Amino acid sequence: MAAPATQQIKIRCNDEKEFTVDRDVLERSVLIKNMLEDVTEQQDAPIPLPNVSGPVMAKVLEYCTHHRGEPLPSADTEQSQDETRKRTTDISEWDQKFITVDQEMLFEIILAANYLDIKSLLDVGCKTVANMIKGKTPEEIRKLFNIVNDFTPEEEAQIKKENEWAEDR
Amino acid sequence: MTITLTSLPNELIIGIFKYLNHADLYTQSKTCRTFHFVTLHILFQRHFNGFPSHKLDLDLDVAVSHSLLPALQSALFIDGDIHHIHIIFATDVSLLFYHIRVLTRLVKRLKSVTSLHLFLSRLRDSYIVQNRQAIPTFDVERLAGALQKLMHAAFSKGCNDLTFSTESVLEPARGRNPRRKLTHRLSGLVLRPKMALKSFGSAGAGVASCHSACIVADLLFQPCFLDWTLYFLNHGHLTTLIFRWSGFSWFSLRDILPKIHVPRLECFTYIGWMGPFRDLISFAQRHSKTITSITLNTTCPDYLDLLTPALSGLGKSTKLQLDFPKLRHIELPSPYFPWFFSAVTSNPQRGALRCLPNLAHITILVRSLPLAGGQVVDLGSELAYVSQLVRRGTGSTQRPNDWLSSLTFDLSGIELTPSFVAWCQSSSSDPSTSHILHLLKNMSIKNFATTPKSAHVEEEMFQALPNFLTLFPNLTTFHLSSVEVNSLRKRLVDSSYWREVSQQHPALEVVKFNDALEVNMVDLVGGRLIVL
Repeated sequence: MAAPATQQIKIRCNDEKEFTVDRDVLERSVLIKNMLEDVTEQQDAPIPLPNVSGPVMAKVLEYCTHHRGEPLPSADTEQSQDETRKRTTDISEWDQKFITVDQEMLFEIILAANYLDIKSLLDVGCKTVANMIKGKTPEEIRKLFNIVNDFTPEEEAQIKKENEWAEDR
Repeated sequence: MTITLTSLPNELIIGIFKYLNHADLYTQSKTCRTFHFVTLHILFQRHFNGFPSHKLDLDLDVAVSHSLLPALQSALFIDGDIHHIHIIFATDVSLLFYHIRVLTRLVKRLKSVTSLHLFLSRLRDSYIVQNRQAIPTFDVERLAGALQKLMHAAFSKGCNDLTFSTESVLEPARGRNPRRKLTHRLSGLVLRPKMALKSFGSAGAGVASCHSACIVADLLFQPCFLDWTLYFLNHGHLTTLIFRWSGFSWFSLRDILPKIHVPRLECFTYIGWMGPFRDLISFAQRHSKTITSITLNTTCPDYLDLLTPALSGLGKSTKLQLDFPKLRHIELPSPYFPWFFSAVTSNPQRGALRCLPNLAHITILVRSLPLAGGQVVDLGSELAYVSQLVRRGTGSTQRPNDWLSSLTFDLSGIELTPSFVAWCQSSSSDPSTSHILHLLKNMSIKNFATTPKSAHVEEEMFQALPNFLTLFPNLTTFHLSSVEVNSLRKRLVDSSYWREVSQQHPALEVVKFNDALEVNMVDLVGGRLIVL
């Protein structure tokens, strides 16, 4: 690459908070990577990221800095992984510690990872939520995620029936 | 604004839920409306690859947990309009009863079911596969009862297409295979004859509307099923009957066939090991007033040693007088053709093809036992035979000389050899075959499949094809199936190749490959080449 690894890039979040980050760290985000490749000339103006807030971006950058230099998953390996993965929800120790945040931050990170197109971070987020769901009853899940039960009584009855149906062995 | 799980966009919810197993997904579906639909969507994606809306096509594998079928059932919550059920049970035996029971409930809840195809053939037994231990006790009476309930449920919903298979779908040719072992065990099950058929009568209504049945393997003919099966066959409106028979039990088929009389039988197909050929033909003869199509497809060309004495035994059976007034299509392995037609013509009252006044389509299952000497697959001798037949047919009856509408060679199981290609290349036509060659308008070569070993032969065959086609100067339609299209795509899309063919062969209108690919020769002349 022509660009030196030390090149610094400025970004600006939706709350006007600005970060100056090493290019290779930012390039964990496929969105920003593509943006930077599209821009030929050196720009001083910060890249606006209207969908991400400062505190969330700080968290995302912490993740990107830790994982800098790791190979980005290509579309191909992603596909084959999907087939062989068998829904494993294992998360590495560092990631686990990193993602131990409150629920709102967790969802913010997932949204940001999706927007910025950081596949590995999105996976960590989704797996974390999936792990929170696993093994719980519907009522526990509702309580945990503050989900409103919006089934009509008829639907509720129908689902209850299905439930019996499912548990009849 | 607080972000919650429910406020995430659907694609992210799917991204999260894809890490959940079936049980958790099912739980999740009960939390709220949004998640109900999202989870069902995921379950569908997971198990219905390319699932058309009215077909439930399912390959139940070992990994599938207990909660799958309940999830399917709730899928009906969205779309209760499934008509075709096609399920391969590749599950563990221990789950089979549960799955059958749940499936029965599913069927009962459907508005209507048109077809029910069940394959038990790939049932696995983890005990065998993993531990090499003895198979756990298998309660056959329970299985029979469960299956009958399921079939009755399907019939009561108007099912008219039933396939039930314990035969191995992908049975390996050789080697020790646990799956095969289990299949043997299943088909060799000794069911106790006192099995009560409690819901026997209730099948009546459904039986009356069932038009097609594929009776596979042996389970249905085990004593505990036999009464039910015979009632089903003999009292229904069945018009199509397909027997798939695995080789090791055709002796019992011989005992059972005389007991079967399907009043409206039109299409009779037997697919299996060589089978009791004479009994099968007698069976067809008993249905001669209605039968329009007979297919006796013996799938193992390897058993030639066994076939030869069987054939010589057939020759002695002169008692059998064949007469099929409605028959339009016959499909036999090549060694049986001479016998079949001599049996027809041996009828002293009628003679020649008068006993087959409507015969118009012949399919020859090319088997390496030749009609006239030699061990090489040789379409030439088969053509000579058909030619002779056609001439005989026209000579002794008032039938037009082009009574044979189509001729198909089924090459399944045949290794393409250079000598086969050489025969196709030689345009010098034998006078004994020229008759048929000139008359034939419609010819197909089925199962033109090559093994890696003979792949180069396929290529040579393709080079020989233009020459081969010129053997049939009046051929308008040529259909070649099971061609490895991808490897030949370059040639297939090469319009100059086809232009050359059409110049050599002006009568040819359509060349079809498999069923998807069609070269329209008429269009080709106009400069267009249709390749799908």
